[in-house]
Amino acid sequence: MSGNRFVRAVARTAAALGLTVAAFAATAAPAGAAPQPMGQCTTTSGVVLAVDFSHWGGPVYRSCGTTPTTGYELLNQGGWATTGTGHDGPAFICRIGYSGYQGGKQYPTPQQDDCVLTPPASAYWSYWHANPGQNTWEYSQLGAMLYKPKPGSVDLWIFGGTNVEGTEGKPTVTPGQLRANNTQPTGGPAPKDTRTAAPLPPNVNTGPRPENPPPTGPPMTTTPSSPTAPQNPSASASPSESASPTPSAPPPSSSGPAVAAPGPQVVEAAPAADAKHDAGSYLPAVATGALVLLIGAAAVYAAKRRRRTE
Amino acid sequence: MPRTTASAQAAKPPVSGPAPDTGGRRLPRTLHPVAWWIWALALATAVSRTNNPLLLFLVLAVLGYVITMRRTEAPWARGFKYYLYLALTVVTIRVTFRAVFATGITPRDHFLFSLPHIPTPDWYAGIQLGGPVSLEALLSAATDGLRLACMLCCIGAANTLANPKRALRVLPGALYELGVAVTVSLSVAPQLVQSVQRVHRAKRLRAGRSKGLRALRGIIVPVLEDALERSLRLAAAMDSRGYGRAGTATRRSRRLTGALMLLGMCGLCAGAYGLLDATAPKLLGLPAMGAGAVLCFAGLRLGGRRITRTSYRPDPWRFAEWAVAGCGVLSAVLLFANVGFNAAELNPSIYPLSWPTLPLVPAAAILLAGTAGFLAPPPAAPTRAALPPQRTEEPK
Amino acid sequence: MITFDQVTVQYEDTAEPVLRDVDLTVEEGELCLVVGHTGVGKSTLLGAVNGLVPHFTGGTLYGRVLVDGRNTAEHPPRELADVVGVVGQDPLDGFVTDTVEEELAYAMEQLAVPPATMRKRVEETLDLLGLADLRHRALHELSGGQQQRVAIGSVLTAHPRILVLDEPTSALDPTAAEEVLAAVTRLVHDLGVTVLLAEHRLERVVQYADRVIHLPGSGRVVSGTPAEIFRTSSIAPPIVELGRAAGWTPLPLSIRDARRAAAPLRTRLADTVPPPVRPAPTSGRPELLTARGITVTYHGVPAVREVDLTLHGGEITALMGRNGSGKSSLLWALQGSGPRKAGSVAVVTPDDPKPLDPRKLSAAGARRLVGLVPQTPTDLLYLESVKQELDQADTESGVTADGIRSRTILDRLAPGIPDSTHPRDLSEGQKLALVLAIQLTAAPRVLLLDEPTRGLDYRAKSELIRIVDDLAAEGRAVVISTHDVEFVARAADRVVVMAEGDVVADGPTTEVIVASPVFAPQTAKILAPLPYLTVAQAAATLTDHGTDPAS
Repeated sequence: MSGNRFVRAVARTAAALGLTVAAFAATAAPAGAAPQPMGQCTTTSGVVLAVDFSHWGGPVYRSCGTTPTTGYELLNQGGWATTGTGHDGPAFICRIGYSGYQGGKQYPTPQQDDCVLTPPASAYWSYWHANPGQNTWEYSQLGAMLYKPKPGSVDLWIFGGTNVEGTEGKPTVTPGQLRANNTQPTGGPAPKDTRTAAPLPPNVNTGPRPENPPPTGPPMTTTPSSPTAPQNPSASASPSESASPTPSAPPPSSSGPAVAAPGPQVVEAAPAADAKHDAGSYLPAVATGALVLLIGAAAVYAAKRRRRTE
Repeated sequence: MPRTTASAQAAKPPVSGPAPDTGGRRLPRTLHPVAWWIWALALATAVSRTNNPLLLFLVLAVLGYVITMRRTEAPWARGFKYYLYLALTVVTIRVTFRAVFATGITPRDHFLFSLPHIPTPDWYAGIQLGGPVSLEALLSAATDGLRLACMLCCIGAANTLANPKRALRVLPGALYELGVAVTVSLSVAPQLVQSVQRVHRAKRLRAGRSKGLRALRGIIVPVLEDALERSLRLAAAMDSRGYGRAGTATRRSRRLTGALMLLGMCGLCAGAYGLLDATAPKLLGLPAMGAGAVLCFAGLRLGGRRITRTSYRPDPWRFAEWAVAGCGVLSAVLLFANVGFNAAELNPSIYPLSWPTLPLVPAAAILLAGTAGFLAPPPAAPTRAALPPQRTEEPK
Repeated sequence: MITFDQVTVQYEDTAEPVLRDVDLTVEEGELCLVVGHTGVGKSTLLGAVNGLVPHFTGGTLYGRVLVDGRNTAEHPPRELADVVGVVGQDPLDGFVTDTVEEELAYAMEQLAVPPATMRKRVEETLDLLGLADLRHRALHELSGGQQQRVAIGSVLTAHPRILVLDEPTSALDPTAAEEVLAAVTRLVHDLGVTVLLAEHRLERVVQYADRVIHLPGSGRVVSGTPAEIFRTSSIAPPIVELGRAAGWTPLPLSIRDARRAAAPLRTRLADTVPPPVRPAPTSGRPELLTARGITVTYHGVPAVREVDLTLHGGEITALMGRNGSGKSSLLWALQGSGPRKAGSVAVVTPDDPKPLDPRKLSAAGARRLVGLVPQTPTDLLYLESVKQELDQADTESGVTADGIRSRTILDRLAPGIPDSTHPRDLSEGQKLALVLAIQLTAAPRVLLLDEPTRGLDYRAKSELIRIVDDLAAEGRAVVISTHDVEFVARAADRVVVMAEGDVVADGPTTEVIVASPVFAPQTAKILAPLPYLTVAQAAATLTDHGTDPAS
């Protein structure tokens, strides 16, 4: 009798849960945001995402995404991935990795920050925006999940110590250096699926063709003269775009002087497949369970023996 | 007991608790309470390093094992289950908060259910109420709560295994007032529970209101009056029996002790701040900590000198104490040393969802702490009354 | 040993000083009995000996108290711990550690006695007080008498030269009290310890006293030999009252002396029939409460085993028995508020032809059938003034304007308690009267009092006897659980003795308490085999016969 009632209750709950899931899937599933080749970002459409890895001696990567999107989605598509903290959840960006940089390794590494509690103000990923047409950075007042970038704007993440006033730890590159600066989209449309980025068609990228997926080898830069470029102290009078303004695929050398600005070099991060995720083995969990049971049995046995001897 | 044996025993260092011959097995005795505290605090420190649920469950199992093996029948040794309840509450609260104050759901998450979303004004956009809840969010909240719960259980284990009043004896004499306060609260707290029960039952006799604020007052006022009077009587009794005799202290030395302690504590706080906050100037870290420790130590020595006490059947510090404290400290050191395992395994990420691994060195370190279960000598068997005491059961 | 030199103690909240110009000297090795009514300053006098007054209690002490040559003004209690040992009323209140042995060693540890000496003294003390079997037991498991002996032992190990005992037996049953007092007298005789002892039930200690300090209540102190002081003191044990009535000189203080002195008196009273202590039961006493097979268990341990009890209107029943024999549990089960595992209770009410079980009624309903005054009456008091408590009681009981208000009841029980007094500031007897008045507001016909005599002095006990007499005269059934034999002899019609949860004796007071050597009151012991129970009976017979008692 009561068993029947229980089964019915479970069924009802399951049904309700299923409906909820379905409803959520219906509303949330259409993915508006998608990664795009850099050429698809114009002054009025798409959002440029840039991540500064210079703290670890890496370049500034930039990539492009469609709108509407959130800062979080932008940072979790086309080969990008983040890790939150144990305390604050995924919304607090603690680590950032790109499948094209160091094989998708996320920074800071677990040795540098265990991402359990909120990272210290002296070493965290700070979030900056540059609105369309503006060449100044603005410290984000919202978290990555809440901020919705405007079309034509630039999002930048930089690691280090940043105060809220934005007087310290400011990005070293300017928004202009990161924008594609083309008024029309160039190149082909981006692959729809973020997880299995299809190989890019040839000659669609503004930069040299990236390896896709690029787990090995150094990331290709837009400038062959990269070792010298950061050393060049002269702030170039040119608008210093890293990408060529022309829609056609220019020779890579043409943009060489463009990144001669002080600071790290800017590198294209083409939409790529995510680093492969391994769900891991359940065996350690089973082994731990067995171990816990064993210890518990030992305790019970010892307690029983003790009671007998008393 | 004949007096001759008493004086003969007095010649060698006496051991606490009865020591009946157990026929070749180790003599039952109580372990030094400080050894248990070092062990438990070290294990708590080790726990603070990880949120790997496998390691945390292992810690709980080890705690349970050691407690079953080595706790006594004393009233304080029956309290571990309350710490477990508390731990469970912590985990529940953590999970509930994570579900209600949604931290957002990522496209890759496993969606579980959706709570009604309560819109917050723009200027308060940093916090969201309700919304979709993912499996990852709940799991990460649960492991996070589990870590805190494990640390609580470590403290609970120390309280269960070590006699709190014997532990208080190691308190330096300079902290006389603290000693009185803790002893009084330790003694009065259980009586408080009894008097709550008594007054609650007595309320029915008056048929007063049994709900609401005024009913609560009907319980709280008599209970607190009772507790206050008991505390005063106990403090008076301790005083009349010589607790905190000043010996040869002068007013000046007492002031000096106070000043040293205060400065030392400030130094310790500043040092801890310096060590934990990376932005603080380097000078504030270890040097301030060291200076604070030295000052505190000096204050305690100076203050302790004015109070002379001896100890009846002092708890000896022997091999078992070294072993128990050592295995606890060693497990903490192993977890912090980062040798032989990947630090990432201590804090496996839930995003994306994957099975946690069981790093061998930390697991071995935790099991090592569990050896305290047989490294410590068995506790002295309680001498039971022939009949269960009825006196405490009788309603008064 | 102890010298009070012009000592006056004044607390901030009282207009009159508690002690006034006290000059007192106590010699070494004396057992000094401090007597007086509640609230005359006995505790203040005792507290002043080791400096708890004024160091701990506040207030101002004028004059000088010298203890073993040390001035208490300059030495706080902890610095006097090696000279004065203090034992309070409830031993549990003073325990600092958990086991007997540790408790015995505690004071020595504070005095920095060398460990080897400590071991020796602990063993000696265990033997001296007969605690050797209990050495590893937890303190809270011990019986009350054992606890009090441990408390005495725990101050003795410090080898104090003075022992101050503030009503050490007030929480104990007669056997346990004997146990403790025997230990105290042994200390005086074997070790030459100076003992200052305050005690309400003088009949237990008066024979051991070398000197009596009487506090008549004016703040002054009269000190002298027991025979001297008791000849005139306002407070006296039955043996002294009997001696006074019979005109014995010197006043005998022990049963042995009194029996020898009483030989002529016994011959003279041999053919008389003692007047009844209480009016003979009228035949028409109705059965008000019938209990059958009452069983109460706590965690499987039976506290009351299948007890049958019938209570009659107009009858005062005394419930006696050791601590933990199930008296309280039985009373609570009868009232319906306490646990009851099995059995039935039926209470007859005037408005309902069918008897009711208070357990099946609401709290308010049960209260109208059976009223219970718990062992700690203050558990029921939580408001700021007597008036508020009384008004609250009227509301709770639904007393209408023409009904008997609680204030009227209180004035009859204990006249002259002002409305504005805080209940906490009342004396023990007044608190009891207040709670009794609150319970009587509901007009129950059965009234149960759980150990009301605890902490009451002779005057308050006489008051209580008058009150319960009146209640019985109104046709109520009254049950009083108590350890006080003298009280029972004077107040009860019937005695029920419990042991281990069973009723072992149930019958008229005369039969039950005279039959037992432990329970017999002093008068009965002195005049045995004559069936006299109280001094009043003997005195009345002597007056009736017109004989001159002194002859």
